Amino acid sequence: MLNMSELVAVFLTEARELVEQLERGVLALEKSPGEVTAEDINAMFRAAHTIKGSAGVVGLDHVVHFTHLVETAFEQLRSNKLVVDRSLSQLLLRCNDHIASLLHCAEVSAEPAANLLQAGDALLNQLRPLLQQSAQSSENDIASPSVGSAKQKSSCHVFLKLSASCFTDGLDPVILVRYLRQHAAVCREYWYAGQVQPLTQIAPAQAETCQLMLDLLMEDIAEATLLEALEFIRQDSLCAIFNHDSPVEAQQLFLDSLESPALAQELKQRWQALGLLKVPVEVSAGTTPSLLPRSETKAENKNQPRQIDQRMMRLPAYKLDTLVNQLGELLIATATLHEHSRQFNNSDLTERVQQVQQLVDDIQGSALQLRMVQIGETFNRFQRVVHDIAAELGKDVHLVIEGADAELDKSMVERISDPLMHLVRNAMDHGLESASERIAAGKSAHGSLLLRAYHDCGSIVIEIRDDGRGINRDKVRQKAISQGLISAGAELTLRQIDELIFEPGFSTADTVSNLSGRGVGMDVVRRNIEALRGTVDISSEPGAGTQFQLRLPLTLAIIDGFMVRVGQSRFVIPLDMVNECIELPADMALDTDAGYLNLRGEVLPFIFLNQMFGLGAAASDRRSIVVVRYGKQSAGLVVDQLLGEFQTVIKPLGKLFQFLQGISGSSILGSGDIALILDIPRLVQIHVQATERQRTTTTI
Amino acid sequence: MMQMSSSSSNRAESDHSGVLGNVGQYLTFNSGGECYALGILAIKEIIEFGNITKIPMLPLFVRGVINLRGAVVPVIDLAARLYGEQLTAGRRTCVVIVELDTEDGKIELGVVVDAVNEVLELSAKDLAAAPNFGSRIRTDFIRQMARIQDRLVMILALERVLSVDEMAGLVALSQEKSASEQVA
Repeated sequence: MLNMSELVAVFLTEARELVEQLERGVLALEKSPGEVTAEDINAMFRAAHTIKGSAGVVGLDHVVHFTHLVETAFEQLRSNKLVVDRSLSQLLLRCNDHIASLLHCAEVSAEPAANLLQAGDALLNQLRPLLQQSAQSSENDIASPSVGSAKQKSSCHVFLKLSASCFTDGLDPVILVRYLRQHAAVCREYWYAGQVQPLTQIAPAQAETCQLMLDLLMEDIAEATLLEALEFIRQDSLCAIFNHDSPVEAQQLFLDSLESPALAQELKQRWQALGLLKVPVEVSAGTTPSLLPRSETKAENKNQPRQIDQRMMRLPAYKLDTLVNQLGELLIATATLHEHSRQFNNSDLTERVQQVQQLVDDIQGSALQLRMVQIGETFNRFQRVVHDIAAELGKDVHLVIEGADAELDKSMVERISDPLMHLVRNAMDHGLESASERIAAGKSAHGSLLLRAYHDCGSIVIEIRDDGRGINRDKVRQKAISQGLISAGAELTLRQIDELIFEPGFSTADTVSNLSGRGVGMDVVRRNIEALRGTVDISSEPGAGTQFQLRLPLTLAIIDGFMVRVGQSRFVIPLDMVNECIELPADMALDTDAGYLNLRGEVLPFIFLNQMFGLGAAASDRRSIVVVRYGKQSAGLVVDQLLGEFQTVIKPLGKLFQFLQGISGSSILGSGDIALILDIPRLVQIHVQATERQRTTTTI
Repeated sequence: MMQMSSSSSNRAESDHSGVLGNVGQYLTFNSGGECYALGILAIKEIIEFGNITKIPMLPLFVRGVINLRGAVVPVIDLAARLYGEQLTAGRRTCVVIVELDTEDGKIELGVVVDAVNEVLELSAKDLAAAPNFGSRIRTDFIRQMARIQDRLVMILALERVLSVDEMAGLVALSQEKSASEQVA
């Protein structure tokens, strides 16, 4: 059984999602009311309704009290009693934020502060006059907020298939219907019998069997009254209640759950005849009535897989982490077993072990898949951010999202959210101009900001592009000189100038604003991204805009590696970065300073790993070069021996080695030895810096 | 070689008196010709010396990492950390696996020593305050002094000797140094 605090935790997780859903909905409503369907508004109403109802269950009275009016607002939107305009949507957004704040209080188990509650009342006071009179009176109905379910009266459809023993049990359906009729404003009843056999075939013992089915249509009946009335009859009979809150699929789900397909078909036809069947909106539109039965079966097939896909399971993240870790151990153990089994020269054994290894590999692959989430959720959060910042800056900005379905590891998603936020703020503050400036520059008045994600070479690439003024390179240069980052006479390529904005302490903003200009930021962005084994690239065109490109690995847990030997040490190079392996030409077999190689007409700088790592002179005379590529940069690594590909779990080296350069982690081999994983981008960077320094010293 | 009973590690959670350098059980061992003691509750096990994977460009006191039943554990050369001279492995050299509490949770570290001697019980009368000066090693590395058979033995303040923050800083320094040395 769930105890109360667990229940609250479940509620909070759910409510947070609903709040986000509401936010998205309201933003969509504000942006393009025409595209928002009735079903969308219905979904928003349901979200508000669910928050209120569940909050009542877990005893969060503030939330119930506040959300009630918000719910009413959505209810009136739904019934077109209320028309959405900008002020209303802004108010609804603020209300939504308030719900989030209340939820946050509940999360830290604090009572909401008095000023928060006052703010809430103020919002309600703003909202109340907008709503129609009926809503206000119904608010009094929920004087005791803990009964969240005692919501306003509404219409509903009840289906009953009375149990066979109904009459002998002493339950009289007629009495039930009579009772309901007293409590409902309108009550229509449709009785019908199921498969009644001809009288002659009925055995005396079966004479009292009840075959009746009943459809009841009621207006304005309190839910509690209804449930109370049905309490006894529900125990044995088949009973289903659909009210307007039930999702469209509810009827279909119920029909699918019936044991007899014939009955399901019969009910469907009957409900259709009575006009009770709710059909998913997208299907009913555009199909002619005469074709309805056939198109419905199609819709059924179409909806089926979607229902399976959408059923979600919630579980604590640590359980997944434990599973992935354990599978990692299993992978290592299997590799060890494989290594040992080969010593026995028993082909049968080896084959079996290989089979097991393959399976473990597969399972691990699926386990890692479990941790993959779509980036869309993170992107969607920026709708609101952009909306708010645009309002604050008085700019008109359209956010375009592409590739929201690109997947990456959950832990990754959490950690890129802050850097992304920074880049988006930066683009809006520095990149995009105000509407008047844009028009003066001959551009459309509204700026556009593109967030795009896609997979490339086993990495995920995230682009943040604006069509603003681009980087003012002169200004950047001036600032960098005045801040002592470069010398006045330094000759820099355009790219190098652009890169200056990633220097710690750099800022071009003349005034420090709320959003940016403090000079902390871009360097932090770069550091955070690099800590995730990723890179940030910037490209900018004056007058046309700036693009930031983040390149990140898909997961932090596992790596497809290529193993090499240098001296006695073994190193793993991430396989995604390996382009090719070539033999070191004989005339370069000595440790030279030449450092460059002509690879099919291209200049390939290379690094002697043994020198770099101080591993002593090479023991082998047949050395190889592994050509690695990261982003646009290529380099060759000189190694003693190539040991081949393998997949491995990354074991972080821990806090002690947090500042290690050129090595990103370790991995345990089948033999039990440890191999170090090379951090290629960093390695190349160290090498480039070292050679540049060398060049400057030699020229002096 | 010798595995501490699991009860000792359980006790580590409930009773810290040994770690805090008061009355309790201590392990004595030799390093760089000197005898030291460590509160036993911080010690998880003692394993053979060997199979250490070197990591390039590290300061002397980091020997590398070992695979301890699937976990990658850094190994610290105690002699190098205390006096700056790396230990030469001998027949009795072994690695003491200790567990430290840090801000980010517990971490395991291996400590290479010349030889382990014995586990003994020290009472209050055997203990004395650490000297303020005059010792061969940094005084803040000494928690207390213990009299063991007319000899004075230093009880190490493990959290300072093996301060992860400090050592990580030294690792960073050494990395930068080796990177710039390559140019020279």
